Amino acid sequence: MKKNKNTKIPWNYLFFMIVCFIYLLSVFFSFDYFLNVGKWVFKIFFEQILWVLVIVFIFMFVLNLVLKKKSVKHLIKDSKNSTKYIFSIIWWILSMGPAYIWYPFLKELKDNWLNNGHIATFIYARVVKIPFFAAMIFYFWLKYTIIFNLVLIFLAFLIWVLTNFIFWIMKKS
Amino acid sequence: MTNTKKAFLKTIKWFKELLPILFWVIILISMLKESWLFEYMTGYLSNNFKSALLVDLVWSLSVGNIINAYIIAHNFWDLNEYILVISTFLIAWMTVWFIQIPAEIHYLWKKFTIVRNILSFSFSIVGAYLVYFLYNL
Repeated sequence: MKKNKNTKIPWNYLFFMIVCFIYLLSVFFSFDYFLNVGKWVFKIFFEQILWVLVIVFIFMFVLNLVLKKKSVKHLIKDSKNSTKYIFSIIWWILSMGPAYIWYPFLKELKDNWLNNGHIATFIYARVVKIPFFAAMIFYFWLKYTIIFNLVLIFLAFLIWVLTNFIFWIMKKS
Repeated sequence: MTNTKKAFLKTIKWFKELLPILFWVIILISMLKESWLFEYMTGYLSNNFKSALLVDLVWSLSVGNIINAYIIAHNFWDLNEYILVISTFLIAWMTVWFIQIPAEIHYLWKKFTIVRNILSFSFSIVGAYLVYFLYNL
């Protein structure tokens, strides 16, 4: 009996193909537009992206090598409340991939060891991305990168305080 | 399988997911740059609360890799002229996930999800203003 193979195209590839198709269609409307867009694509890719991707790849490879979910769970489980907050920030800063893939892991932490404030901090600190620091400096310069990330860490702390405060009030009322 | 190989394959997998998205972002940016829409998009916004709120509202609906956000912000807006817009855009992109709310409610908690998203939405603008003031000190 033949196996039913799943031939569904992933949404990111499908979107890529649709965009390419729309771009290719533009050749029938204006050849100049088609050429100029092509020039922009090459310019952006080779001047802004290629070397950034190489650096990001190296950083991500090193992080994947040293970071394990299990070890983080142990660190959080065995630490004090204030230390848990610091771990929340550090772990989320180092985490990668889309946020939704982390929901089950966050749920497990929330059910067992962390409170709402910790989880909110966890999610907020995500905007600080160490593997992408080089990219951020390249696009927005060092001064902006430093200020932006420090502000974000400060706000992550505020989110922790405010979330806990809001839930404390909700519990009282 | 060794740890090095596992880490390498994990990184490759992440890149395989990222690259098509990155390329359609680049093609779309290039197409926009060559169209009248680009002038409209950049001309309409400026360093004020209204622009920050608009960017916050629009980009809170989207999610994606931060690299794409950097590329979009870098190509659309000049840092010195649009620092408030860029900061709001980056923070909203990464912290407010309106379209992921059902998934967030499913795994975390309804009240928590609502409180977190409202706080993050407000903090996108607060954070952007803080960055703006500190940058111009």
